[in-house]
This record gives sequence, C-alpha cells and structure tokens, in this order.
Amino acid sequence: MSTLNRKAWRDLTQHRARTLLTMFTLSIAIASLGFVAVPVLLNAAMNRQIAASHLYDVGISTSTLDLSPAQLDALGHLPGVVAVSPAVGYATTAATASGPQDVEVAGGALASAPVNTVALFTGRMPGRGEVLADAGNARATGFGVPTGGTISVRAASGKLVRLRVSGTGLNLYATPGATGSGTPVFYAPTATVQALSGDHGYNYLGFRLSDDSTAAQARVITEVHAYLTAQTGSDPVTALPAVRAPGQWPGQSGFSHIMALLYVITILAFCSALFLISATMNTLIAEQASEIAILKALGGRRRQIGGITLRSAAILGAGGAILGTIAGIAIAFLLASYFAVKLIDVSFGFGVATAVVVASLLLGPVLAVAASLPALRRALRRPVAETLADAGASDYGSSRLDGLVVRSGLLSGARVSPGTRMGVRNALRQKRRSAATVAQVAVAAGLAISFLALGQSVTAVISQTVSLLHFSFSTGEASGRGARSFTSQALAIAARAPGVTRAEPIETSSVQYNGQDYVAWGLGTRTFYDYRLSAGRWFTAADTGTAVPSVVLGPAVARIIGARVGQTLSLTMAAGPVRVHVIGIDTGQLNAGGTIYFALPVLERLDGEPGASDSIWFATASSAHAAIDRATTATANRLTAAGYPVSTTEIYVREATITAADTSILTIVQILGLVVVAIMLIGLVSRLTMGVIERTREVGILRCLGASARQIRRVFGAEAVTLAAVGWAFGIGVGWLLYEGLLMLLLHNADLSLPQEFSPVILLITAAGVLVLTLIVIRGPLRRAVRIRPGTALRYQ
Amino acid sequence: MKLLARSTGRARTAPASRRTDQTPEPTSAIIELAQVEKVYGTGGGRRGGKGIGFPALSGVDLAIGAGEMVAITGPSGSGKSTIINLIAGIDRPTAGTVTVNGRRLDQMTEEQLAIWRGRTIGIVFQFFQLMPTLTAAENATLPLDLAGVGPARERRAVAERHLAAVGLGDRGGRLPLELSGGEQQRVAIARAMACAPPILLGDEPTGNLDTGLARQMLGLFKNLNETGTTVVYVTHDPALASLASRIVSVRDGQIVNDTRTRRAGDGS
Repeated sequence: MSTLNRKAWRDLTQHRARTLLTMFTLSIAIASLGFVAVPVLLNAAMNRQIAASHLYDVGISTSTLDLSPAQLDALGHLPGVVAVSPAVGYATTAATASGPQDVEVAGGALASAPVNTVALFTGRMPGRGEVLADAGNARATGFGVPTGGTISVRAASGKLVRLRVSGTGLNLYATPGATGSGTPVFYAPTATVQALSGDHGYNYLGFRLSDDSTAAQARVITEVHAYLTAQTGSDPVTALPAVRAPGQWPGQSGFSHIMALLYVITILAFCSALFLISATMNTLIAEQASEIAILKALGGRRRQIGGITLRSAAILGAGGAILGTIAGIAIAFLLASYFAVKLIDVSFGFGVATAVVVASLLLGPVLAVAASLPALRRALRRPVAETLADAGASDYGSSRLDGLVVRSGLLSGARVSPGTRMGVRNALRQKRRSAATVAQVAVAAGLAISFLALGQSVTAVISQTVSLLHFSFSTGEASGRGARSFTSQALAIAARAPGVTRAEPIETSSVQYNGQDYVAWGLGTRTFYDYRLSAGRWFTAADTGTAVPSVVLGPAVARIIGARVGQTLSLTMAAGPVRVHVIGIDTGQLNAGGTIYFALPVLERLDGEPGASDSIWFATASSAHAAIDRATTATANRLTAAGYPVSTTEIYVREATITAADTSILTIVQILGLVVVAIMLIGLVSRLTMGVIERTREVGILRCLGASARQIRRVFGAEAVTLAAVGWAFGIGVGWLLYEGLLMLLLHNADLSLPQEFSPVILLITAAGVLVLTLIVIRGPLRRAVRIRPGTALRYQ
Repeated sequence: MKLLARSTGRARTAPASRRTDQTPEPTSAIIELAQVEKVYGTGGGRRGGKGIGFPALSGVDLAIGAGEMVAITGPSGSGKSTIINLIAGIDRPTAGTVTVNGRRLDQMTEEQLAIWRGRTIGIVFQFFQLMPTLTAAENATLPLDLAGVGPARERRAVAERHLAAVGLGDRGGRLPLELSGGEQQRVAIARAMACAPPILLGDEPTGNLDTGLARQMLGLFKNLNETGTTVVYVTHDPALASLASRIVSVRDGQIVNDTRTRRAGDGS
C-alpha cells in the first residue's frame, strides 16, 4: 500500500470517534433515501392490487334483474365485451350495541368473479351464512368486525340474520376506503345476499372490454342498454353507467393526494440527507486543514493531497452507504407496509425498490466525495503559512458580527453564567458550519409547522363543512325488495316522529360533464344546507318550471369546468343529456366542492320520479347525541312500518368518521414529518459532537480553571439551544412557505380549498418541540464532554 | 507594575546574600510529591497500577514550601510538564502520592479536583489558552465565575484590577484575536490570579514569547511571589530559571539537581 493510501486509511482508524460519527451521520442520510422507496413500493402494491381486481371498464346499476345463464352469456358475448360479472348489493342495517349501523352486503362470484374480483386478505372465503369483511371497514367507517366475529343484519323480511365473518378481503370497486363511502361493506355469496334482500336476481353488471376507449365504452353501454330493454320490456338502468378511464381506479385521487404529500416529504428527506452529508464532510475537511497545509509544505501536489482526502471521503461514504442502505430498506418496508394497511387497505409483502437500493449504495461514496470538494478546494488554495498560523486558533472575533455581539454587551451581564455566555458565542464560531446546522433545524421546524398548520386546516374544513348542514340525521332509501322513494306521505309520517322538528326531502344523483363524474343534489328553496355563494343566487320557486333547469355549481366544479354564472352546460345523466343554466356558484366544500345543485322538483323529474325523493334530512329538537339517536330510531321504525325500508346516517357520526379518517392520514404524515425532523436534528448532534471533539483541549482548560461538569454541560448546551432557537426562528418562514405550497398543491391537484389556519399556537408548540428534542439529542455529546480528562485533553492534537 | 497587595500573614525575611545550596531549606511544604511515578500509555492511573508505556517520571520526591519560587528545568521529554500537571491534578500519578495545600489529590474525584483547582491553583500555559469567545476582561473573570466567588459585580472589579496590574487595564474589551502574544499571556496571568490562589503554576509560560517579553512575564511572576504566592514554572532558559529562588533540574524522569539560589520569599 502506498504511503498516501496508508495515510488515507490511518486518518480514519486513528480518529475512531470522528470516523464512526461521520459514518453514522452519512448512514442516516443515506437511510433517509428509503423514503423515496415508500411511494415506489406503495405504487407497486396498488398496481398489483388493481391487476388482481380485474376492475370494470363499464359498470351498470339496474333494478333487480333475474338474468338466466344464457342471458348472462349473451351479455358476455356482446361486441367489445371480454367478460361480464353480475352482482347484487343489499343496503341494510346491522344491529349494534349503540343502535343500528348502516351496512352494505355485496354478493357475487367473489374471488372467481371475472370482473371486480374480491381479493382475500385474511381468513377464508365466506360460505353459507358467512360474510367477508372489507379490509377498509375499520379505517374508513369505524366499523370493524374481526374474523370470527358476527354481525346481525336486518333482512328485507324484517328479521335479524346472524352472519359470521370468515375473514377480510377487498373489492377495489366497492371498498369504502376507495369510494369514500362511510358505509361498511361485507361480501357474501350471491345466494346469501338474495336471501337477505328477498329478491332473486342481480342489480349490478360489471363489464371488461377489449377496447377501453371512451368511444368503445359508449358503444357497449348502448348495446347493453338495448339488450336489457329488449329482454325485460322496460329500461332497467337506474343510474348513470359508471365508466373507468384507462389507468384509473376507485380511490385514485385520494391515493394520489397521499402520494403527493409523501413525495413532498421524500424531497425534504432527500434535501435533509444532502445537507447532512455536506455539513459532515465540510467539517471533516476543515479539521484537516493544517495537515493539508503541512503536506503542501512537504511538496505534495494538489492532486496527491486531494486524493488522500477524497479516498478517506469515499471510504466513509461507502461505509455509510452500506449501513444506510440496510437501514433504508428496513425503513421503507416498515413505512410502506404500515401505510398500505392504514391508508390504502392493500395487502403488502416484503419488497425492495431495487433502483432506490442501487442509488443509495452508489450515492453514499459519490455524495461524500462531491460534498468534500468545495471545502477541499478551499483548503488547497489557502496559503500554507496562513493555515499553519491559524492552526488551533479560532476565527472568532474576525467578523463584524462577532464584534457586534461582544460590544453590544449581549450576554456580558453579571447574571449570565460564563457557560451560557461561551456557549451562545460558540454558536458563532465556524460560521459556515453553524449556518448549515441552523438551516437543517429551520427545515425541520418548518416541516413541523407546516404539517401542524395543515392538520388544523383539514380539521377546520371538516367542521366548517359539516356546520353548513343544519340537520341532525338523514334517511335514505334502502336497496333491494321493497325499496321505495319517499313520497309526501312518507315525509309526513317521518316529520311526526318524536324528537323531529322539521324534515326536508332531498334527491341525490350523479351527473357527468366532459367524462368527469359529479354528485348532484336536489335541494329546496328553504334548505338545511347553509349555502354561501361566491356568485349568483340560489333557487327560487320560479326555477322549478324553467325549460332549461337552473343549477348552482360547487367551487371545485366551477374551477374545473371554468364555469361562470349565466353559462349553459350540457350534462349527461341516467336519463340522457341535459342542458342546464348556471345561476350561482357555491363556496362550500361538500363532496370536496364537487356538487352540482338542482332545484329539488327538477332533479326528481330528471331522475324519473317526480314528487318522490331518495333521502330526507331531519332536524331534531335536541342536539345531544342520545336525543338524535332516539329520533333516528323512531323515524326509521315509523318509515319501515309504513313500508319504506330505510338506511340512516347521523351527522355527528359522519363527522367523527371523516375526522378520524383524515386525522389518521394527517397523523401518519406528521409522523413521517417528525422522522425527517429527527434526521435534521441528527445534524445538530453531529455538529455538537464534532464541537466537543474539536474543543477537547478547551474543555481541558476549563477543567483546569475549575469548571464543574454542570458548567461544561452548560457551555455546549447553550450552543445547541442557540442554534436550535435560531433555526426555529428561520423555520417560521420556511414553515409558512411550505404550508402555502401544500395548500396550493392540494388546490391544484385535489381541488381542495382549505382555510388558512396558521396560528401562533402552532409556533409555540414547535418551539417547545424543537427545544425538547434538542435537549434530548444533545445528551450524548454532553456526556462525552464532561468525561474528558484534563490531562488527556491538553495533549489532544 | 504593582499587584494588589495580598496579606498572607507570613513574615518576610530580610534579604540574604546569593548562595547556592544543595539542600533545600526546611519549610512547611505546600506541595509534596512522594515517590511519584508516571507512565503514559495503557494501564496505570488512579490506583497506582503500573502500565505499559512511556515512563515520564520515576520515583520523584519533591517538596516545595509555601512562598517559594521554583523553576523546573530540563531537556525536552524529561518530565517537567508532567510534574506541573501532577501538581495541578491534571494528571494522576501511576504510583506515589501528590499532596497540595494539605489535600491528597489521588483521593479526589475529577469533579472535586476541578473545583479545588479553581480556588487553589492558577495555571499559565505556553500557548495562553484563552477562551476565544470571551474578551480579556471576561477571560480574567472566568475562574471567579466558575468558582462562584463573591457577588457578580465584584468579580468583574477584581478581574479588572488584575488586568490593570498586568498593564492591560484599557484592553479589557478586546477579544484574544485582537491582542498580541504578550498581551494574551498577560491576560492569562491575570486569569490565573483571579481567585487569588496560593499556588501559581506555569508550563513554559514564556515559551511563545520573545526574550524581552519573557523577562517581563517572569517579572510578574516574581511580583506575585513577593506577595506570598508559591510559584512553580517550567522553563528551558537558564537565564529565566535563575530568576527563581530554587532550581529543580529534571532528566529522564528523575530529579538530578535541586539548587537553592536564595531563601524563599526573598526579594530580588
């Protein structure tokens, strides 16, 4: 081995503490690249799930059709159709200790269905008298039933039927986690569902096509429509056919939002990794400045001297890369598998993002070498005499800032302990390194601030949105045999239920515009919905009789379409194309702002049932949850007894479910953010530990002068707290920018407009958090500092 | 330059003629090294176990009386600085005992040693070793702050008096980077005397100064000695060593000569 190579190796082995610390810091930086693998792994898991789901290209909801095998076969052989899968859905209630719980039981071929296949996650497929619980029930609806548990559901006959949960699975088409429905879903054989509903037949047909273009989908819809009408004698289609654009899948937008946030965190994690590597290598090179000068004095050429340093950097980088890659694989797997279950309900096995692993292994030495270059270049250019004269000397006092701090009398007061005085001023030594540390803390604090503010905004928008609905519970028509729309008779019956003060009929539907689906609501002129218009007006009685129906657009609809008041649009509904006239634009975030409002009688007419609605909103005398529960039960019983089987939804329950779901996402994102914060704070630990190592002799001198352990700790503690505090201060600006960026991202990617919630409380919380974390992470370096023995310290080179 | 007069209660003796005496005058020992050994390397340390490594001192016996001014001389690597370090409690002997101002240093913990050192020992280093982020006045106040001696305002006043005594009364607000080598060493002396310690140690205190400045520094040491402070310093320079009342020569880790040039406490 040449002398130069030997020196490169010995530089590492002789300063073991420094070497290990540098390698550890680099490994943390490389491990944080594991964040990049998380969205990659999740995407791969989701793609596997989609492929296994055999998702529909066209889905058609019908009235209950008793189709024979020959008819199903004929449907499967229609031009352009590759496969057809019939299914039957039954919406009912399950009896629970806290009252009836809306549930949906979906029947079909389950795992063997050629379209919308149900994937088994745990347990086994349901047999007779059994159901498979959707894997997203607990997270999305708050109603999780474990494998082996039972649910008692209300059959159409009125009897309670006990069903055992045989396991968990997922149908991407129906899972509440993807559809955003608050109703838990259970899968059962067709016979089980038909027995519950009392109907023999199917009410949904899913098709996969050979050509999934929009034109091909439209042709198949027409063909199916014509075939079914011919076979049944009437038009059995009950809702707008669902079409899936190529590459799209249910819940994709929610998944995309989460991925967008993850990518933001990943970028921040990567930036923090770069910061760490840069700061670490700069420190290392700076420490070797006098050695570099000596080598130059001995005749060493720049290339030779640089080679030694870069070899050391490459060795450190390689060591850090190996350790960091192993840690990164573990981090990526743990995070991705956790998110897969908590956020998107997909099954997840051990996986490795090969590209990320290779990149991590390569980036370690490459980044370590690259990060060393600026400091190395500076050290090589500096005159030898100047470097050697400065060896061991501090540059404190050479800048205006140093002089300003000293002459201002700041910290010169008698009440300030010498340790605190030295510690705070020490923060100004090695300004470049201090600036890097402050930047790391600023990004960490900024991240924490932005995510906390985002959480507050999400919580605020949920409660603001729900607060616009001035009713306590709603009823909807149940599916299956006996399901009836609510006439004025039903309304009168329901309005007389105990605890109910007012009832408002509502019609819900779906419309399409430019291939995009939107929710349609039919509301009255005096409605429970506290609309806040940004333009135009609400409906009046005159709007019920116009030739061109009037509509009010939700904010997201108006933004996507680019619509304005006075514009005429062509919508597609189950009944066919409809021209509508925009009379107003709302600001409320119901259905994420993607609602199109009609006058109630108009939508009832367009849905083919004039004078009858599919939902009723109820206001109660009391807002107490128990009173609402009682009123809900009483109303449901009265309507059921009158021949109107219903499902019910209480607003306070819905709000809690939405809040819980969004909070869990936010919590996860915040936890991720905290991990990035922790990575950043490692930079602080590294800085402080390096400081202790570098100032070993100084610590020895302090011990010679009579400093106690507490006073030594105060020196370094004050330095760390100063850097953290300054970093936090800068972090306020960083956090505000990040927060505004996230709001814009959500607005443009998710059409979600969130209120500004950047409150001072968040700043105080993050200040406390930064302080506490700082005091925790510096314990190691402080312990090292007080253990330094003066005799050894004075001999330290 | 006059230092603050410090009453020690010790009577001054009349000046005696200069003589060389092989045997130290009996006096109450404020510093006592008894059969001290020091080996640098693996093993050794507090409990006196022998280690494997470089033997810096072998069987050293040294007693220094209160008020003496002692110069320790010898070639490089002879063990001079080791003796200073052992007296200050900075290092621990591998064998033997070190007693300073009535305290057995081997029976004290590191924490106790640090606190004891602040009040008992003043140290001046070859390379000054001032705290770079503190002004001259703050450096001079530092030992008082660490020891918590007196009210905070008085500490500053005491430090400023010491700075004035070393001729830097108007430089208290300067950072070490803004001071010359001689000025830094004077600040170091003022710092060393902050707590009015009974013992002042100098490890090559003039090693980084030119001849003229070196004599000035030693002159300050003499002034302090005249107020009753026991002064022990290491030097290579025979001329500077001759300013002391006693010269201890060290070679290969052993004391080879111990010469008295004047009585303890005598003036120059």
